[in-house]
Amino acid sequence: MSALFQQMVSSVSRQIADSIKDKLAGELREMLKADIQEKLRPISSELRQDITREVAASLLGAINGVAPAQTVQTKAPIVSVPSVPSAPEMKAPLAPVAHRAVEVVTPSSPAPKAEVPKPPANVPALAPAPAKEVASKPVASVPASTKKQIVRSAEQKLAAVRSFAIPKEESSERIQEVKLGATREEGGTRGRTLALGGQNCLAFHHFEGTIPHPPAFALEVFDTVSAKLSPVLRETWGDLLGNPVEMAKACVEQHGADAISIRLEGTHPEKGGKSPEDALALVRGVLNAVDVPLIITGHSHYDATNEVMKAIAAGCKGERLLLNWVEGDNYRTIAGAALAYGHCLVAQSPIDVNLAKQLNILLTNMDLPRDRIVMDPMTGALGYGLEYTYSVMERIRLTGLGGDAALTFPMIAHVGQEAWKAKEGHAPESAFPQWGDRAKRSVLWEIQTAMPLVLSGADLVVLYHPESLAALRRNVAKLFPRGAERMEK
Amino acid sequence: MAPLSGLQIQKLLPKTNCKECGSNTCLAFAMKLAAKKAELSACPYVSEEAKAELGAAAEPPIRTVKLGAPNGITVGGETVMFRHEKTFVNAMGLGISVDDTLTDDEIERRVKAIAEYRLERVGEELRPNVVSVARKNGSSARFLAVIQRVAELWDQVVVVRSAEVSDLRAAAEALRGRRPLLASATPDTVKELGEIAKANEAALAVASDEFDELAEMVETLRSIDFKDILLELSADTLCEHVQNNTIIRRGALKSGIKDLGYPMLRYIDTGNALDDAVEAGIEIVKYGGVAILPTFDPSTFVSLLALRQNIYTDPQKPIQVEPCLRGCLSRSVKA
Ligand code: SF4
Repeated sequence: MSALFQQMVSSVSRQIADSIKDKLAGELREMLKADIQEKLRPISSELRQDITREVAASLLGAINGVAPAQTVQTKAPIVSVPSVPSAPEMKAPLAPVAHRAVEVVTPSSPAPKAEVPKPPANVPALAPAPAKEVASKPVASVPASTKKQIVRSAEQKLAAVRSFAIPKEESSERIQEVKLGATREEGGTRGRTLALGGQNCLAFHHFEGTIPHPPAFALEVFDTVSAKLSPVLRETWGDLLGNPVEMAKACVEQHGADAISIRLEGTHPEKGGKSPEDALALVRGVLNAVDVPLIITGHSHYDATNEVMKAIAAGCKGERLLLNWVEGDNYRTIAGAALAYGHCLVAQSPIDVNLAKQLNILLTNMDLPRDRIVMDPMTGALGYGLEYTYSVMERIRLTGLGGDAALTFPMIAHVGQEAWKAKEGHAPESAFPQWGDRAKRSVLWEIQTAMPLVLSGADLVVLYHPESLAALRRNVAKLFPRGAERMEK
Repeated sequence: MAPLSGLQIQKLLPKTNCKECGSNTCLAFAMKLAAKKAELSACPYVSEEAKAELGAAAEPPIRTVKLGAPNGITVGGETVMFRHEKTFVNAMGLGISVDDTLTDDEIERRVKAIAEYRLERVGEELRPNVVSVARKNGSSARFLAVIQRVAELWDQVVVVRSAEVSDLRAAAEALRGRRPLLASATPDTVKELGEIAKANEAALAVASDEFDELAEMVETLRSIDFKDILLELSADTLCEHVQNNTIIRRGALKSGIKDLGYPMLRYIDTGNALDDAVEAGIEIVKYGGVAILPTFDPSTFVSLLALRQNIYTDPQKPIQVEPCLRGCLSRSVKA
């Protein structure tokens, strides 16, 4: 399998490289007048590729005294969907993002929107911040027993910087907000719903945007426990593994999962062949046991997975489940079921911005509302392709925020599923002394797969180990100016 | 200063198209300069004014700093915000800290553990690069002795950390030829430490919790023509810290703010080993230059070194993975 993946990625990267070459060469031909070409001829072809559109455009502008043509159509868009430029062209879609230089705020002028951080409730409130300078030391009135007091917020500090303008990039777009789960009033039975997306900036860029919802963390339960499951997970979950309803309860009540993914591998004809009714019964059991939204995770046998998803979608009408997943070759049945019975779905595409965009367009063309789509650009684990997922997520997010609404959907990362397949999640320390303690190392493998993906744009991460969830939750909270609110629930 | 375009550079050249630079025309040469594929010195006729103007513009937006000698690392020198634009080139330095309160045996044990650590992944040998020695309690003589012992056990980058200028001077002199990193200058000590670092071919970190103060210190060092600087900007929260890393990288690359154009130094010590590992991982992904953890643990370092290798891989290179018995990314492709 990894060989296949290698082949796929290498062919994709070759395509990217070729398309960049073609495109730049094409652009140059189009944009440069004959006399410029004359001058450029001596420049080696290698250098020609390095000449950016900007330089070419300014040359043209300088010669003509006119503004250069802005964009050049990419040739051969895939299935008539306007394609997203390949990697080095990423600046183009970002152009509409205003490169706004913030006025330099002198320390004496009040910082806009700045607030003095709220002290814990049991602490006497701080006096309202007096004129700046002095505001830098209002700690005196706070009892010394409180934790390290943050004298000035990051926002206030940035507002006071005099030596340069803080470079901010503001986006006109917001990521689509998608709400998973429905309460009784909304036609479901959930005690809690889970909102994803809604931000207008990259992960944790609070200084230039707003992020209404922190990244969410789900844990997964299994209808069938794979013989290949890591011994570390077996030890951690023990008997619960074989009892997905009880395990789901523990995931929510003891470990604070925001959502539960139910993996229905057992409905695969070659892995147990459980019936759609069995699957529906399990989902109902978990719905009764926990009050968080559910993710229904199928498998790659299209016919079987379609039957299962249909049965569950109909049987749990109105619950706003997240049906995981549809892909380019198999989306109609499940998308139809999501549409008919009020569920969301995961649109999965193989580490490719254009294919992701194309699938989103196919889905919205079926009249699936935008607030039902979560993208999955596919996860590679740390050491096993993580960097491809990392960059495709970053590109999807940048392109979306740059104004391409077909890519402004929240993203899901199936981190547990991939990280625990890695050799590092299995091999004992005796086999690889350099890898250290297996229990620690395997949890770190999951964490160090998840955190980079959260930084590159993942809004929902499905994990397998409760310690990973706790560590990620704790650190994500630290990445919000006032902690992540979801945590406090 | 923002980098000049080829056309802007061409205006500063003699425009005689004499070809002595190896290019056919001055414009062609200017294009190469703009793409950083040629050195200005290749043109024998360029004027002094042009040299001055181009010299400032030709400096890379983020300074490349060499740490450690003869074995060491290069940090900084990055030219993009996102790895899909262009490969991140100089992998973050990763290491641990020891201090003078530890016993000699303990120091030896810790430094040996990191010195002997080698990890092999997809044909590359990966290893930690930095040991930082901090003065906490002991005498200056004890501190210097610890530094010398560490330098014997460890062939890579040594960071010496003390608030006393005299300590850093003695260490810089003792480690002459090893290109240590002195940590860290404050507004009061920056001038003196700059001279010491310069005289002993050491790098110097400047530390503050204020951007403005940091920028002032950088200016001071530039005024004595010292540029092997690392920025140690401390923050109250992880949130603020991660934002600052982005602001520094973006300010240097996109806004051409010279004072921000240096690699960053970060000491991580949350009191929780798992959180330290998470923060070091964030540092790798989001623009860290050198990150130092309190202790060495192979389970932490295997994940961090693998992450560093992933993030610093050429984004256009076909995937290379360790053979994975269990079918990684198994859902990805159907034959
Ligand atoms: S050597 Fe100088 S003057 Fe001669 S072609 Fe090159 S850039 Fe122009």
